[in-house]
Amino acid sequence: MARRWGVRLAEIVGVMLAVSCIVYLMLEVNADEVAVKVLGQFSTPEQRHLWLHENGYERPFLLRYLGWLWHFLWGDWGMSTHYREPVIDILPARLAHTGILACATLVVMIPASFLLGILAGMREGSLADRAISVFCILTTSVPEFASAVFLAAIFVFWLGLLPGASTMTEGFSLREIVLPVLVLALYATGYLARIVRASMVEVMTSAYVRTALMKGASPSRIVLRHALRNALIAPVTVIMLQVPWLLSGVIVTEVFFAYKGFGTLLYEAALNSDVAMIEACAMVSVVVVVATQLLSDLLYAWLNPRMRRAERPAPQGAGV
Amino acid sequence: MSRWLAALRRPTVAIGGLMVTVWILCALFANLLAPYDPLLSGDPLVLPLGRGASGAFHLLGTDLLGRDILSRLIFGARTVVIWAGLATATAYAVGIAIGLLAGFYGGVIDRALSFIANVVLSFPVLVLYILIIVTLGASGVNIVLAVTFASAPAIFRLVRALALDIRSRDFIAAAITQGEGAVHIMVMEILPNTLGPLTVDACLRLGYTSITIGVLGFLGLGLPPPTPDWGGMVNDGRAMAIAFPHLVVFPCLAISSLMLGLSLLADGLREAPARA
Amino acid sequence: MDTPATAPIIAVEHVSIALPRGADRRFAVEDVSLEVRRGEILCVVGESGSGKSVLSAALMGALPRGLRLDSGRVMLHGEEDLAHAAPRRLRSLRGREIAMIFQEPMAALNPAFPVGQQIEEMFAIHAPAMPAAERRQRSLQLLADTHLPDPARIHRAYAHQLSGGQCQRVVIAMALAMQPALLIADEPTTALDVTTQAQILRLIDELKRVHRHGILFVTHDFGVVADIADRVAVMQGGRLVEIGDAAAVLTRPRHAYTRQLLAAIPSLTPRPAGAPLSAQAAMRVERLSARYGPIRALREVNFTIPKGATLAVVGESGSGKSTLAKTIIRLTEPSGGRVMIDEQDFATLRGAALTRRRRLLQMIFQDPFGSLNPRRSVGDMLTRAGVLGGARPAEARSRAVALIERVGLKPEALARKPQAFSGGQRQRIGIARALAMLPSIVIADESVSALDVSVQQQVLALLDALQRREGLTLLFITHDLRVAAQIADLIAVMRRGEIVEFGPAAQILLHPRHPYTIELVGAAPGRAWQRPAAEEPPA
Repeated sequence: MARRWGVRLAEIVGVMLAVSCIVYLMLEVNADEVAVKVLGQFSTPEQRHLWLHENGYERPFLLRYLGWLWHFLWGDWGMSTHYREPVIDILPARLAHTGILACATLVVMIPASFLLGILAGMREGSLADRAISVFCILTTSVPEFASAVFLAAIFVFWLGLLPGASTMTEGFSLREIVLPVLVLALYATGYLARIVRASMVEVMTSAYVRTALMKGASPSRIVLRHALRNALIAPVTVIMLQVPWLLSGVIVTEVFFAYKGFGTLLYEAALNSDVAMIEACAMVSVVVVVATQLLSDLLYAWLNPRMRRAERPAPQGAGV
Repeated sequence: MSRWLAALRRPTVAIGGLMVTVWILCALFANLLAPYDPLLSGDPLVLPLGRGASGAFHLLGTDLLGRDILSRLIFGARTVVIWAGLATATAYAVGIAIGLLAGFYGGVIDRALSFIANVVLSFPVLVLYILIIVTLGASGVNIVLAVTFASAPAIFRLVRALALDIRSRDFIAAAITQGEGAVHIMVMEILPNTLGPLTVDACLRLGYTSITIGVLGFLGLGLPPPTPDWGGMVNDGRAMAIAFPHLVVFPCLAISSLMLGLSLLADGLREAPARA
Repeated sequence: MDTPATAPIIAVEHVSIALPRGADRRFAVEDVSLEVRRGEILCVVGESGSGKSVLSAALMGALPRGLRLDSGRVMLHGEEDLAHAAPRRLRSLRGREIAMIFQEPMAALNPAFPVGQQIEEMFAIHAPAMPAAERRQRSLQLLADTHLPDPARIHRAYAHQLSGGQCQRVVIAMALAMQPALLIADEPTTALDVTTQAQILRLIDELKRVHRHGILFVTHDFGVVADIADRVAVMQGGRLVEIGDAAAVLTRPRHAYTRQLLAAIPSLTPRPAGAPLSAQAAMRVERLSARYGPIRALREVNFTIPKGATLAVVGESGSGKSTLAKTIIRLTEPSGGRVMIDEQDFATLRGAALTRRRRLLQMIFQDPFGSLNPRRSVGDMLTRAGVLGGARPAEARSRAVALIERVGLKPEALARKPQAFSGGQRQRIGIARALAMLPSIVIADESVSALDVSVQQQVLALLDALQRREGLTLLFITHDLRVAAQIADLIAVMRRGEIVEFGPAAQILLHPRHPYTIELVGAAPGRAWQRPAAEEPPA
C-alpha cells in the first residue's frame, strides 16, 4: 500500500515537472519575443538587449528554465507587466474569489445531480429516467457562454430580476453570484447526474441487490443501504476529476459576467501577453487539477473496502 | 448496414441526425442559402423580422456593422464544420495510432505514452488552448494544432482502454498463435472492434471541438475577423447584449443546437448496439 | 410452520410465464405443475433456456423485468397464493418462509459490508425487535452450523477476502437465518471447484436430513442430480417433460428428452482403448516452468505425448493447467525448461523463427463468444489461417470449404460472421480454424466447458472422430474428470503448478494412487450412479 502511494506521488512530481517545462518552453523559448512582450512593441532594440542581459536571458535554455523553476518554487513568480505588481500579490486573492464561485457551484450541483441520478437510475427505462436523461443531454449540450447568454436574456433582459454583471465593486453580493453559479451548475449537474445514473443502474442489476431483494428487504432499504454505498464510489471520484472541466467553464463564465476571479485574470493576461502572469496561472491551475486527482484517488481508496483492506489475508483453513 | 438503419429508427438518432444534417447542408450550400453577403454592411442593429432603411428584410436582424445575422450564421456553420471536422479528424488519427501501440504492446511503451497523456490532461483544456494560441497566434491551422494536442491524449486513453480489453480476448490469442504480425493484429483485429465506441465518442468530440472554436471566438482568441464565426459573433455583440439580445442569442442557439444534435446522435448510437 | 408433514410446502399449479413480445417463444415457462415437500430435495434439471431459473424466480415472486405471470398459482403451505400476493406480503415471506442460494456466491454478497453484517440483516428485516447482541450471537452460530472455520473472523471479513466455497457457506448461513420452510438453490455449485462442490452438496444434504428443509435444487448437471435428488423434474423449452422419483427417472426414463440428456452425461468410465499408442513422441515437455511475478505457476513440468494420442490435463482452478497450455504455445513466456517438437525446442524460438513454426501448435479456446473476431466472416478467418499456414490463397480457400464440412457445418457458413452461430457451432469453427494451419499438435483449453451437456458431447465426439481419423495429437485441458474420461488416452493430474499423477486414462480413473487424484475421482458428481443399461454406448 505504502509503495503504491509512493509510486503515485513520484508520478505526480514527474507530471508537475513536465508541465512546468511545457509552460516555460511555450512562453519563453524565444527570448527576443519575451522582451517584446515585457517591454512593449515600441521598445528600442537597445532597451530589450539591456533587459535580456539584466534578467539572465543569455544563459542556455535549460539553465534559464531551472532558474525560473527554482524561483517559482520559492514563491518568486515574477512581475506582472500588465498590473506592474508582483504576480504573487495579485493571484491568491483572485484564486480565493474563484474558490467561492466553485464552492457555491459544488453546493448546488452535488445534491441536485445525485438526486436526479439516483431517481433516474433506480428504475431504468421509467418515465423519470427518460425525463432526467433528456434534461441531462440538454444541459450538457449548451456551452457555458451560451447558457450565460440565455439565462441573462431571461433574468436580466426580460424579468429584470438580476444584474447582468458580477463585478462585485461594492463587496460581495449574493445577487451578483447567482447567475454565474447557475451557469456553471447547469452544465456540471447534467454531466454528473448521468454518471450517477449509470452507476446506479449497474448496481441495481447486480447480484447482491438481488440477494437483498430475496432476503425480503424493502425497496428503501435496498436503495439506501445496499445500492447507494456501492453506486456512489464512481461518481464521488468523478466529482474530483471534473475540476479541470469546471476550471475551463469558470474562465468563460467569469469573463462573461466580468467576475474578478482567477479566470478573468488569466484571460486578461493572455490578451495582454503578460508572460509571468500566464505562467503562474497555468501552473496554479495544473496544481489544482493534480491535487484534485490525488484527492480522488484517496477518496476511492477510502470508499472501496476492496482497496482499503486488500492486504489483510483471508482466514485460511478448512471449508475451502 | 441494417444495424445503422435500425439505429435511425430511434427518435434520438433521427432528431439528432436531422439537426446535424441541417447544419452540414448550411455549410455546404451557404452561398445558395444565405440571403445576403455575410460581410456586407447595411443598416446597423435592425431587429429580427425588421426591415432596414433601404427596405431590406432581415429575418434575424443585423449586427452592429449592419451585417445580416442569418447570413453570418449560415456562413458560420461552414467555419465550424470545416475547422472542427479537420481538427477532430487529426486528433483521432494521432490518438488512434498511439492508443493502439500502447494497448497492444503494453509495458514501457504504454507507460511512456500514458505519462505524456497524463501531462497534457493535467491542464484544464481551456488553459491549454489559451497557452497554445498565445504562443502560436490565432488562426485556423493553429486551432487544428491546438485541438489535436489537447484532444489526442483523451482519444488515446479511450483507444488504449478498448485495445487493452480486446487484446485480452481469445481471438487475439488465436491470431498470435497463428503467427500474425503486430501491425495486422492492431489494424485488422483490434481496430475494427473499437469502431462502435469510437463512433459515439467522435460525435461528442466533434461537438466539443465546435464548442471550443466557439469559446475561443467568444474570448476573442479565435479565427481573426471578419470570418463569420458563431463565438466571435457573441463576443462582438456582448457589449450591446442587454439592449439587443438578438445579437448574441441566435449564435448561441446555433452552437447549442449543433451540440445537442451531436449529443443525441451519440446517445442513440451508444444504445443501439446493445439492443441488436 | 406446523403444517402436517404430508402437505407440500409449496405447490406450483399450472404456471405459465409469458416472455416479452418478439422473443423466440411465447412462454418462458409453460403450464408447469410441481410441489416440494418437507425434508426432500426436488431437482429441476434442464439445459440453458429451459426455463428452470425463471421458474425458481417465480416461486419467490421476483420475475425478471419483461416477464409476467400468464396463468397458474403458486400455493405456499396450501393456503396462500404467492403468484398473486401483495408486494408487502411477499417481502415478509422472502427470507422468512422461502430463502434462496445463488449461483455466484461471491457476487451475491454486497462488497461494501462485512459478511456477518449481511447475515444479521436477515434479523433486522424479519425480527426487528431482536437485540443486537442476540443477532450477532445467532449469526455466529449460523456460520458455525455451516462448518465455517473461525466464525468470528469470517463474521467481520468482506466477501472478496473469502474463497468461493466460503462465500457459498455464508450465503447458505444467511438463507438459514429465519429457518425457512423452503430453500431454493439455483445452480449453487456450478461456479465452484469439484472438491468444493462435493462439500457444499454434503452440506445441502445435511440441511435436508437434519433440519428437514424442503429444497428446490436447480441444476444442469445430472451427476449432481444423481448424488442428491429425492425427486427429479426435467424441463425442456419451458415445459416440464418428466417428473418422478430420482431412482425411477435416472434408471427408467420415460421421456425421449430425458433419455437423451442421460445419454449425454459424461461418466467416469474410461473410453475403450483404441490402437496401441505410438512409440514416437509428438511433443516432449521437459522441466517446463513459468512465473507470475513471485508466484511459481508451473514447477518443472515433464511429460511426453505420443503421436496421435490425447493427453488430458486435469486440475482445479489455480492448478496451473491453463498456464501450462499458454506457456507451451508461447502466449506466456516460460521461465525455464524445454518443449521439444520434431527435435526442436519450441520454448526458446525467437522472432521470425517462432512466427514460422507457430503453425505447428494450434489452440481451441474456452469461450465460444470471445475466440472469434466478431467483425470477420468465417471464410475470411479460415482462409487467412490457411495462408498463414503456408498455403496459396486458392488452396487455402478450397481447404476452408473442406474443413467447414468436416466439422459438420454447411459451406454457406463461410459467408457469415460469428454472431450467426450458436456456442457449439462456434466451437466447431474454432476447431476448423485450428486445423486450417495443419498443426502437428492441437491444444484444447477447456474447450467444451461453456457448452450444454448435449452440445458438449457432440463437440467431444467431433474431436474424437478427427483424432482417430486423422491421427491428430491432442492436449486437452479440463477441470472435469468426466470429460477427460471420454476423450483421453493419457491423463495428467495437476495441482499447484505440478503434475501429481500421470498415466493411462484407465489407470488414473479406476486405480488412482495419489491422494489428491483419489479425492478428485471421489468428488466427481454422479459417480455412484450407473447409466441405464439400454443406453450404454456400443463398445
